[in-house]
Amino acid sequence: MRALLSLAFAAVALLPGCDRAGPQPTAPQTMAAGGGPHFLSLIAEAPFHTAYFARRHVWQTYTQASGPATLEYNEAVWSDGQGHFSVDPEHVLQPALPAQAEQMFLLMQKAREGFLYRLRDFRIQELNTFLQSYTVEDLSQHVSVAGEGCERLRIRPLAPGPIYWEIDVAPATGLILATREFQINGSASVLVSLVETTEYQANPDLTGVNLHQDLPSTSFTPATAQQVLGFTPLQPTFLPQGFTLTRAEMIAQGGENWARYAYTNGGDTLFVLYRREPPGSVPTMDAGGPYTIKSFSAGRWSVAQASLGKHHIVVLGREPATVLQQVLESCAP
Amino acid sequence: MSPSCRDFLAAMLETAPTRPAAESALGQHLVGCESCSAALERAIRLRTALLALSPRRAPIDLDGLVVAATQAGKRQERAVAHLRTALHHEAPAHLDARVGIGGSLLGEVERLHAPAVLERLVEEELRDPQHALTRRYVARLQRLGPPATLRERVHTRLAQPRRSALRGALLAGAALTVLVAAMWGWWRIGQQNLRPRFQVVYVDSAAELDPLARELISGATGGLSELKGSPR
Repeated sequence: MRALLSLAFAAVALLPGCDRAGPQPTAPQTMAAGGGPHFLSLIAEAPFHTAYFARRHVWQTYTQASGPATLEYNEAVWSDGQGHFSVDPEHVLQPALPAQAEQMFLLMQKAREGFLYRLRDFRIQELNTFLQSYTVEDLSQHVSVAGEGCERLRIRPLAPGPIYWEIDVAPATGLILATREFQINGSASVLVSLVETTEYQANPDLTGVNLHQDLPSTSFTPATAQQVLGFTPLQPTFLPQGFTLTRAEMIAQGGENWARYAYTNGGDTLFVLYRREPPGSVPTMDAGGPYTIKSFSAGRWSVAQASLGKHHIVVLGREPATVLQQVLESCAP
Repeated sequence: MSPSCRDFLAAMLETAPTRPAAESALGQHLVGCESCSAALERAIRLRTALLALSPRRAPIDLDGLVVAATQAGKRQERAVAHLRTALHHEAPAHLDARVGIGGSLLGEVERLHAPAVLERLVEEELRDPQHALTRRYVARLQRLGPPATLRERVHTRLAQPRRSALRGALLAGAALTVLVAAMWGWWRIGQQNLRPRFQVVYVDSAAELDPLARELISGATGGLSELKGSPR
């Protein structure tokens, strides 16, 4: 139960608000004039503006200290087309887990359904910024995914990197029904992640479906930070190229306020969380000594954390761990 | 040959081989003096023969040798050489007899000793006469004064300001630049010392992270970071 509560907080720590009812962005003229796919402008909002049900097959692999690891399971996804959604994990295919451990894993997956829907899956967060950081290549391949006709696109970051994606998009809705993430090893491309829709239904009956509810958060500006948070937050002075601030919000955990900054390059998202202990409190220190950054990576995600006296900073993103460490260091007072 | 003949003989040597005019004093003397007339004929033949000879050039270094021979040092060197040669000669026996050597005249005179410093100087000179000669020669060289133009140039240079204003400004600017650079470097070092020095610890498991960071990475990876099962 405690783990689930932590997950609930972690979910709200990263997830943005659910207000997706604003006007849909229009495709840049250059995109239309350049002959780009007309549905590109639909992709960003399609998961929230399309009412649908999908059963998806999820397959992920990465190398950890003990060797390669694979996670494979099925999940059911509902969306009401009004910004609300639900992700229910169903059965773990890999790795082999005891029944109790599998139940615990499924519960925790349900608790972090916001992560899965918004961060794990490939997303275009903001199209104009996205097009400044990625290239979109129409492979002119018409494929069928769960009975839906799709167009296959290849997405590559403009900055040289070992990762690229191939996505199958339903042109009518802009929904991504299949995502394949590849890692380039020398001259070969290796599949490292697959999220593929195996069943699809438009406008499903949502009776009895528990849609995800985000925990409350409060936006703040530099002018209102002290009033909202109770302290003046530190911010990074270094960001990876292409990333800009999109949200600054206050979230609460156990009576402690955290400042959560979300940065995006249009595709990936970078989070910086900051908390300052109140005056008079005894500052905590990492066992490794002052100014110790702990870094951990799983797949393409990395997290870096540090406690600098009364300042607690956590940086999370898909950028390389060394980049996240630089972001964290740039927050230091 | 009368004394007047010796005078006319000198005059003949100057006029030969030209014969003197009959009405001149030498001409009138030659008429009456056979010896001078014969001497004139010999002088004419001799001068004529000498003039017929082809002149030979003097050695190239003759001029230098002549000049050197006239210098004080060279003359002294010759004198020393002669003296050394002279010391090898024994006095004549009658001179010894005159001064009483072997008798009692000099023996009765109180024997005088030269000063010790004189003996040392003589000893040094005899040990290395060339060095002693050179020392004396150099000491006697004439000391030459500087030319007047040099003195004027020195006075002119000393009358000018030692440093121009531009040069002073450049030096001050350079010194200021060095000072600023040193202060900037010192400030940078201070800033670097003030900046915290981070150490990075890569952990192998998300369990080693703080709860918030652990849950964040677990959520973002869709649970991938917390797998502990075994492959099927």
